[in-house]
Amino acid sequence: MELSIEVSQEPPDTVVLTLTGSVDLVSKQELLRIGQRELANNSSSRLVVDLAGVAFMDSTGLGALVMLSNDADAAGVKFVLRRPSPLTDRLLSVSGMSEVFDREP
Amino acid sequence: MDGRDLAARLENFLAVADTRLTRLGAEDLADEVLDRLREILDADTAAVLLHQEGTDHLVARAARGLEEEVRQGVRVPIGSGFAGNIADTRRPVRLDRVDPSTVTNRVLWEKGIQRMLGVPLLRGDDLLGVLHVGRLAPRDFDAEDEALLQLAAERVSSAVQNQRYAVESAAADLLERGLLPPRLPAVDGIEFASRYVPTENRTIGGDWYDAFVGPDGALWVVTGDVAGHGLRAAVVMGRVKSALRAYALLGDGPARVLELTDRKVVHFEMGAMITVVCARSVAPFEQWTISSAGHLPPVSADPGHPAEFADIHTDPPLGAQPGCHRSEVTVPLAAGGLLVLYTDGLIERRDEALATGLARLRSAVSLAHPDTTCRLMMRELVGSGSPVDDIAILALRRAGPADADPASCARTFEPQPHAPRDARRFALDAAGQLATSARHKLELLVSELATNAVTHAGTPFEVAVRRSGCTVLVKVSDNGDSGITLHQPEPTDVHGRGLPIVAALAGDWGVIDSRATPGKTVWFSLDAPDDSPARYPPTQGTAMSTDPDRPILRPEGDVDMLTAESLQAQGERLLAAGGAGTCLVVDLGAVAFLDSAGLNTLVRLRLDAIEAGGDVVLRNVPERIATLLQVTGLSELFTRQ
Repeated sequence: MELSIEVSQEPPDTVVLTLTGSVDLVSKQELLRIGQRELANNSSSRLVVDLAGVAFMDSTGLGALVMLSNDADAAGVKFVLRRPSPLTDRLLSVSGMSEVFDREP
Repeated sequence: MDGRDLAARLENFLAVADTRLTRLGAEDLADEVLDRLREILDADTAAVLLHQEGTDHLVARAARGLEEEVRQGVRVPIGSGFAGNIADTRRPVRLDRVDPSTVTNRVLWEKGIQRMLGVPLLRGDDLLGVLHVGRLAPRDFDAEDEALLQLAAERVSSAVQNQRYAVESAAADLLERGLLPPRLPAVDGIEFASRYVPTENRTIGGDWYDAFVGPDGALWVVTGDVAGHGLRAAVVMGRVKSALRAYALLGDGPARVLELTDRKVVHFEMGAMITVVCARSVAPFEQWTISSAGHLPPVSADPGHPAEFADIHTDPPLGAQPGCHRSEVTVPLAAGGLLVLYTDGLIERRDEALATGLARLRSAVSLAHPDTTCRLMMRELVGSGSPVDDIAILALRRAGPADADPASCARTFEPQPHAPRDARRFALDAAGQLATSARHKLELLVSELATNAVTHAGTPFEVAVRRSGCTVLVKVSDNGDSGITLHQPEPTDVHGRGLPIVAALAGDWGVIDSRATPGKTVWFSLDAPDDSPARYPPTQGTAMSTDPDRPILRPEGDVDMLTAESLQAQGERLLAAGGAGTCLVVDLGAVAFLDSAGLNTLVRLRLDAIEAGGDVVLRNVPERIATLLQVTGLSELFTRQ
């Protein structure tokens, strides 16, 4: 299943990437491209990645999230995960990354 | 006899002795020398007695004029009589009176011998025997006779030494062919390899290895080392090896077998000291019970874990402490895991600390085929030089689950970004009906390995999937030369999480890296029942309740972070259904692993139960979990059945 990425703006200064589909070797470049584009061009101070629609993610996809998070840190932007699906949640915990990312409550 | 005559006779004798030395065996040479001595020294009798190794006797081996001495197998105790005193003092003796007061051997005085001269046969400080001559006429032997006999003794000594060496060398060959198992047993699920390497001069040592299957089907593997060298050590080794096999027939464990063997050694092999390590296992060979009598610990390597010395307790060597109690320890061996038994010749170097050798040994053991492992160990630890001590190695490997499946469904993928996705789909199809959680796991793990093959190996790779009952076996083989490293990535690392995920989620996994050819295979197995609800996460609690007031919760497999929550939910449901005062029984008999998350669940369930006037009772607590309860101080908290 291809990854679709929807970019939306939430007031006052949050940009949201809503992911639907698989985050893996095929789609990580697209995720990075769009994420880095938003970090460079968008003046928002929060980058939220919504994972509710992620049907599959592996460590390559997770690596792309880590890379975006690192880039956001460097740009002074807060990186936040939203609604991890049970699958992504388990991937995060198995990888010891549960506590690493900020999550929306 | 003037000096020139003597010189001529000496020259004559030396020529005979030297030329014959190279062509004749010790027996023929002794006969030849004895003939010459009789002639040159004008003697009527000449005899060679040899020291019998391991005894305090001389035995007649060659004689002229005294042939009955050999035929009767005359034995002379060292320290008594004519020859016995020569052997004891290692000095020449001249006798001018031959009777029962000076000579023990009645053959000599019954023959009417009047004068005798004897010298020791020595090799360095070692006593080989005695050479003596006698005259029927009452004419004394003089100093020149003695010097000549000494010369002859040197020739005989070296011939005897050569013969012993040849015998031992032949015996070393015989040992390799005879005492060591001619072939290792054919055991389903186990691959073997072994080495026996004698020292350069082929002196026999007391090292051995053994592998056999008992009548109960148990597989035994053994290596041992009898202290000392030479035929005696080898013969003791043969007896101990066979005693150990015999005691193994009794059906006891290694500790008991070594206790009995020890008793035999103490009683029948006075003064022998033997180190031995003995391991026993039954199919599927995932547990090995090991007992060690002063022997170096076996090395084991598991897929995903570097080689380690087996964590065993070492008791005293056999023969070292009569009646001592012997212990045994059971250690796990994962599928694809390797177990190596060896003797100290492999690691001991005169110029090196034992710890250094042990460290080198550990680094030489990989998960390669046992034969490759033996080769690598010899290469890394012995190199091109000759070992200073003999070496015995026995290596075995448990078949990896992905090894033995010619019937698996396999497909090759090109190293393209889409390949992991295609491989996932293929694996899901090939695995057939699976519970949802197992499908998710399979998909994730295949994706990880396929992604590694695409991004690191960069070669076409094959994915093979096999469903075997409740297990799915997957192997991913590439042709690249990239190695495998497993480390815990930092939170900000972008890469390196794939294998940790495989390690965390697979039931079992490993790497097969042949080294000989490029490429490697990473395999994993998943516990994957297709019946719903899934047994492997989310848990695992199968409620079995015959009495509504005493419901039973019986989790299976692993109770950890992934499954604890589901167990908790099931427990809470049972408690709620039972109402106030319900006593929930948690049967842990089928739990393979339980960690702090699992403990937490048990504690919380108990608190819930107590709040409602009931309790949680534990049943069939495996030893490991009992220990866990003990060390966490929870032992007293729970009532146990």
